This record gives sequence, structure tokens and C-alpha cells, in this order.
Amino acid sequence: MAFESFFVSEQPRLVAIALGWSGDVHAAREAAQEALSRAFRDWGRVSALDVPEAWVRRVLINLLIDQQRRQHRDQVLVDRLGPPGLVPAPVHDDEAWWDAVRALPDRQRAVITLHYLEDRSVREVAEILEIATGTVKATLSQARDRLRVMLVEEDLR
Amino acid sequence: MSDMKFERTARHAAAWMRAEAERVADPNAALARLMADESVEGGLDPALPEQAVPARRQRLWVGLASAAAVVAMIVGIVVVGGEQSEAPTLISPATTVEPTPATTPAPTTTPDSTLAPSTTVSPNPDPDVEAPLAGRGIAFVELAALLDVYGGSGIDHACVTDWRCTDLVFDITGAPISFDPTTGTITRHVRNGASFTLPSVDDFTYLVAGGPDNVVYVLQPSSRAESNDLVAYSLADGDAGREIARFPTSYGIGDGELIPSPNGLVTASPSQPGMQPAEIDEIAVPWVDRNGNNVSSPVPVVRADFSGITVTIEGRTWTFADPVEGAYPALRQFMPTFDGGFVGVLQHAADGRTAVVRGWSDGTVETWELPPEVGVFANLEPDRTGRVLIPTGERFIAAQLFAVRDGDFWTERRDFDNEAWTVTYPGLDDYLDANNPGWENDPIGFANALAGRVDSPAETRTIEIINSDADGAEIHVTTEGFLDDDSGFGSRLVVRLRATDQGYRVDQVDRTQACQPGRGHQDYQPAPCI
Repeated sequence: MAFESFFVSEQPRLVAIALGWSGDVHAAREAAQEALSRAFRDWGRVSALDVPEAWVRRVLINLLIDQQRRQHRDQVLVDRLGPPGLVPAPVHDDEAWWDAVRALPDRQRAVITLHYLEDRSVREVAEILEIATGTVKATLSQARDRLRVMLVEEDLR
Repeated sequence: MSDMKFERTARHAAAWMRAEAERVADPNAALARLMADESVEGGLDPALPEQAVPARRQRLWVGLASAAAVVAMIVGIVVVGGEQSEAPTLISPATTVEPTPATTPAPTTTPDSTLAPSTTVSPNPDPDVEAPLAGRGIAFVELAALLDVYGGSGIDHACVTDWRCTDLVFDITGAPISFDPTTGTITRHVRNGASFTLPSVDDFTYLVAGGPDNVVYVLQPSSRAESNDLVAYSLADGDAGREIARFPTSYGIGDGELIPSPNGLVTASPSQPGMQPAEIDEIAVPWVDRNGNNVSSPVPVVRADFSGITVTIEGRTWTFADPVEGAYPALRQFMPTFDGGFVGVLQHAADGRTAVVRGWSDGTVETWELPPEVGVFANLEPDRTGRVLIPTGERFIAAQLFAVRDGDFWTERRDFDNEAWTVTYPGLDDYLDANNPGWENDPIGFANALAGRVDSPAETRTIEIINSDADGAEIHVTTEGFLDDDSGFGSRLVVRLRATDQGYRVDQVDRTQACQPGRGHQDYQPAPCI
């Protein structure tokens, strides 16, 4: 498989995952770029994998989690130092839904993002994250429960 | 919300996000940018070490580990001496940790308003002291103003970028270990503490823990790229920087943090509502000694339940209301203290409100909330003496936020024999018999109580259990970094305790000291300084 075609086909999907994850367009594009850059550096081996798409998603999610861990407190500070009103409240249900997803723990967020955003089956999500299908099912169930609660609370505001 | 409505909402939100991504992705421009980046070379890197092991075989071991449910996210192959062993060895599950016995929740005290810091701390307008983050609008300068209030720890704090600053962890003895990302240097901040510089550092290199036997654990990107490696390095004098073991791990997906426990690092996850770590008996990465053998260490086990907050350490429990109402759960931010309590840092995930919580050995809790103008700061690090180390962009401040309680120390007479280099504590046994302080049953707390409080922010205390059995214990308490003494640099008590039905009692306490540079012996000896 040519790397260029892999890149052009995967990049928008990776940006979507990263955007769903972080909500930051710039950070999403950079995370996707870094994941694809790592694929490029090791393309000889990545392209020989059964599912290179799963590999690059795993890299992306690890990058997002690492980045999130490092940036968490600084980002909190930036948010806090910003003048009131700089961060608008969600204007429609879609944004509210993704805001709720971003409040989930990492694993639940990864599972929800892959399952809904990418329409991945439980088995595919398990392969991408290298976890058991039972774990995916349980995590999906926990995430749905949490999202339901959060979205209802949002409705009540 | 019904299942049908939930699914409809989710699918609609997914379609909307895909459309948003299509709008901003611009794959052709991104590809052109990658191809124009001269620092990125494409193709197969022939130097990749794991190519020696067929990928299929690695995947098999990974798959077996998952099937065995060792830790769903974390599997590994032990490598000793920096080379991959011929036969990959699965990280075996560690011994089961007994569940914490039920205890009566401790009473909660109202935060002591007298502990609230002055709200007159104001930004220092001097541009010369602005830290690297100032350019982004994050003024560490405001934190630097706290230096005058509390004093410096003697540990530098540096930043490469606005979110890439010095990591700080504490090893089993309580010794601070830092990783400076500007130089790649890892340092153990004690007298004659070793340091070394990592051969390569990138944005994802980060210090995870200091383990037993002077081994430090560093997360580094794997050359396989799809995951990180947790690398164990020696941090012993004369041997520092030698790679001892490498644990390929997909650490990061789902379970947010690795927490020290007696047999190694365990995963702690906020994904289980309430209690974390969810499965403390599943060791993700075992402790290794400098020979690469698995070892154990008496690391206090910390649990926290974030529905309300209950902290449990070694069977002792504290229950209190979340002072910031919705704190970001991070178990690493709860540090057991030598005096039998804990210090915790709680931060709100959304608005950054931050509070430091101090649990005392008697079960009470106090809270210190940050002055609003100081705001959130990155990586507030509690230490085992009960202080909080605050980064300023230049150095860490060691802040003793809570008034030390006399009951946690022996504050009466102590007699020093300067010939025999021993210490005696007249009246101690009578005091113990009459008052039964909690520390009489805890060898670390006992030794800490005899050593007295840490006086200045520049002082570091480490406590090491040399041996402990049913008959007694030998504990070394080292306190060093004396600012006000131009002769002595540090002192060490060698505390020998015997176990009795009423708790521990002192057999003998010996004293040694190390001198300031140029003022005599630099190691700990029963000899005077000049």
C-alpha cells in the first residue's frame, strides 16, 4: 500500500477522532500528523501489518492520552485565566454530547469514540485497543450509563 | 434518556463531528507538510531492536497476556541489561493484596480558617523573574511570590515548552527525584545522590516512580511507536544510568496512572466510579532490583473513593467532603506521610479550583485552598514530610501549609552523648505508656517522631527500614540540607526498636552526621565536622 494514499484516506478520520477527543482543531490536526508521521517513519513494518489502520489509531490514542496528561493542569490554568465568556456554552446537542464524552475516563472515551464516530464493532474496537471484547462491552456499557446521566444533567440546566 | 434516544443522539453527534473534521482536516496540505519535514525520514528503520524478535511472536505474547487478564492494558517482556532476552518472560501477576479491612470513618473537621494563606500575594511586576510560561500568559511569577512566604526546596524547576517542565517523584524512602527535560538529567536529591542524563529525550519522556534499591522508572516512547516503554534505570552512585529492564507497555489507554504498591506499579483508573485503583492486586510493572530480580518494598497502599472522598492508607481511613466539588481524581496526588497521615492535592477538572488536604494520624482532616490570584499550578507535589512542593518555573518551593502537630513528635528532652554518638530520650517510655500515641505501633512513625520535625524548607528527610520483624526494627532517619549550620550538612539517626505488647520501645539510637563541603567528612560518620 502506498503511504500517500494511506495518509490521505486516514488523516481526516484521525482528525475526527482527535477532535472528538480534545475539541481543539489545532491540537487534533497536530496529533493526527504525529501519528501519521510515526507511521511514515516505520512504514516498512506498519504497512506489513494486517490492519495498519488499527495501529495508527492506537498510536493516536496513546498520543492523545499522553498529551492530555501533560497538558491537563496547564490547560485548566489557561481556561481559568481566560476572561469569563471566552469559552461558549455548547450551542446544540452535538456539542453537548461531545463535551460529555470528553468528561469520560480515557478508556471509556476511546471506546465511545471508536464505536460511534468510526462505527467500529466491538471486535474492531477490541483489536485497536488490544483489549478483550468483554472489556469493550463492559466499558461501553459504563460509558453509556455515564453519558446518560451527564446528558440528562445538561438538559436540566 | 431512552436507549433509542441515546443512540440517535450519539449517531447524530458522530456525523456532525465527522463533518467538522472533513472541514478542517485538509489531508493534502498535511501530507505535503509531512513530506517537506526534513526531520522525518520514511521507511523501515534497520536499528529497531525488537526486529530481532518476530512481530508475530511478540503479538502472541501480548495476546496471551491479555487472555490471562494480567492487566488488560499492560503487558510486557522483561529485558535485563538492555538486551532483549531470548525467551520473553511475561510479567506475572503479583501476590494478592488483602482487601482493606473495614474501618470506622474518621471524623471530619472543619477547615481551619487560620491556615488560609494571605490573599495579599500579588504578582511580582519584575519582568526579570518571569518564568518561561509568562509568554503564554501563565505567570509563574505569581507562584514565585510564594517563595518569600515558604522558602525554596533547593530543587530546580525548568521548562522546555509551556507544558513541558521538571517532573518530580519521591522514592520509597521519601527522597525527591527530578527529571529535567531541558537537559534530560535525572537526579536523586540527597547527599551523594546520583544523577545521569538520558541518552535521548522527547516530549513523551516522563518520570514515573522511584522504586526500591535505587532504581528509577521512566516512561519513554518505544521504538515500536505504537506504545511506550517503561524503562528501569539504576540511580545508584557509580552505576547511574544503566538500563536494568524495559517493559513494553500500552500504558496510557484507559487507565490513567501507575501507582507504587508493595510489589510494583499498579494501574489506577477513574473508570470505576468511586474506588481507585480498581484492581490494586494486579501488578502492571514489578519492582526490580539493580540485578533485574523482582523485589518487594513496604510501600504504603493508598486507596481513594471519590464519591465523597474516602482515603484509606494501610487500614487507616479518612472521610471528608470534596473541597472543590468535582475534583479530578488522581491517586498519585495522595502522599502518605511519615507521621501516619497523608497530604492530597485535589483539582477541579473544569475550572481549576485547587485545594490541598492534610489527613492527620488521629483521623482528622484540614484543607487549604489556593488563593484565587495564584490560580492553578502544574504538578503540585506533596512529599512525605507533609509539605507540598510548588513549581515556580525556576525552583520548587517547599511549603509547609499546615501547622505541625506536636503529638506526632517527641518534643521533650533528648540527651546527646558526644563520645558514644548515641541519643537517649528520658521519660519517653513513661510518655508512651501514658499516652499511647499512634506512632508507638508504627516503626516509621516512631523513628520520625524521635527525629523531630523538619525545620526548614531546604531540608529533606528520608526514612529507610533496614530490617523489621516480629522482634523489632532498625530504621534509619536522615535529615539533611541544613541551611543554618555552616558545619553540618545532615544527620542520621539509627533507631533500633524492640516490639512489646504495648507497641515499640527504644533499644538504642545512634547518631551520625555528614559535613558541609570543605568542613569534614561527606558521608555519614560518628565524627565531628570542622
